[in-house]
Amino acid sequence: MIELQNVSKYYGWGQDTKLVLHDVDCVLDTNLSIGILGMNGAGKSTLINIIAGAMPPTKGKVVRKARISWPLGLKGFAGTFTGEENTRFISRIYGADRRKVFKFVEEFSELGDDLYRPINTYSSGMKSRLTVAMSLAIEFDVYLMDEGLSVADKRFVDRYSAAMKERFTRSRVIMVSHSLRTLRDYCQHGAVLHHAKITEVMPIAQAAKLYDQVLSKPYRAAFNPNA
Amino acid sequence: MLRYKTSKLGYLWSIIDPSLQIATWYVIWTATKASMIFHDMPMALFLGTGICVFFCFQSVSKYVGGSVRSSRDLLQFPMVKQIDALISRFILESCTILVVSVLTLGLVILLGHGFFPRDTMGVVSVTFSLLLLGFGFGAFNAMLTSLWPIYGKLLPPLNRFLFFTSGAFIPVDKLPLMVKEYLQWNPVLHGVELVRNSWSYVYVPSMDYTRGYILLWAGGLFLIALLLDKRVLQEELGE
Repeated sequence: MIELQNVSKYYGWGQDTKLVLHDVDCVLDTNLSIGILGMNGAGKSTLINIIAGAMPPTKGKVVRKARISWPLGLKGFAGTFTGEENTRFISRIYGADRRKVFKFVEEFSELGDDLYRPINTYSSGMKSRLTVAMSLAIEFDVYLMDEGLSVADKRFVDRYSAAMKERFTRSRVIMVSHSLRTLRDYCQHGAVLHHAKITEVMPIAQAAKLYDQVLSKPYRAAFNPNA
Repeated sequence: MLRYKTSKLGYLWSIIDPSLQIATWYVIWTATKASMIFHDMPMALFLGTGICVFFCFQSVSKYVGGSVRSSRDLLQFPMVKQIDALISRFILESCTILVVSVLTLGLVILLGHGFFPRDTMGVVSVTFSLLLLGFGFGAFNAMLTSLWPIYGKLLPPLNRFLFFTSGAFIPVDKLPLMVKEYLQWNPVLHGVELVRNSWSYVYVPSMDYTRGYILLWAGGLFLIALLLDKRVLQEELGE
């Protein structure tokens, strides 16, 4: 169970203040895989960072009663570290066995000697491989995903999808994206983030319908998902 | 965050940099035949103490100042805080610059241009205060640069100003009182003069330099950095 209690988030100062989340009260059931839809700039990354605990809300509180991953994406690695050093670092901060984790990452990512090169020499495809391998190597109750991971190589995508599907038999995912197609692959439930509010969690088809309405009249002031 | 620069040459440069500065000022002062005014210290030792002490401050502030930006990707991990980046950089840079300073001053003494300090503990405690000042200034710079990138452009001239007024290569005590009163605002000057005071058997500065003043700046700047911490985090992780 992840509970957002009266969470607000603002960016900027004075007149330039941007309201990203406003008094959000929301319960995310960690027995469900939930996809949160939102337009570009709606505050999806902020929301996922707040859920992860990487960013504190301006106001309110987040209660987490599950082992939650970091927001998986192409960020999250130290560029000057090698892949192997990053693996060691992440294993250590999550209290995982670093030898086991590295062995898994080595096999799954198939990065070979590239694991001993600094991350800032990696292509985004290589970074994706490392992220996917790292996230699978450490068990979490809930995986947080900021958009889908763009993995170019089809053979790897197939392996990754199969491994993720297997993992999601016992773990769940909370994913934010502007793309419904990405969310449908992993989530049976959904919600919409719009105008600094989140709707209640509903079946993904229903969330998709609501999101379509938002897209058709994106800035309609009268729209209030919580109404 | 934890790796020192990007190549092993970085370490070599760390040693060459202060030595080059000492050599440059040595040549300048020798050419102008000004060697007689450097307290009771041989000129190389005078320059060595001043420049190494200044480098302790500058090196720490420079790398601590860049640590939040360079670790921004790691801030995605909820257990990694900005303060972790600042502290780990502080430890790494302090150790490096202390080794560099000991080697540089050791070389000066070995070459017959100096003597060992009169009050080693005094030298160590003032140096540590300057490392903390570097930490406070670096943390302050890290936060301000994240919030207002334009501030980053002001830093090189500000650092140069601090260097020229720090007494690292000028015997400040010989300057007119009015100038000394203005320069006394610079906390790095306090460090440089106190280290020379602890090193020398004769030199007592004419002005009132204290470790408390250095620590006050260090603490004050760090406190402001802490107050800005949350706002910077949202800038670094923001959309």
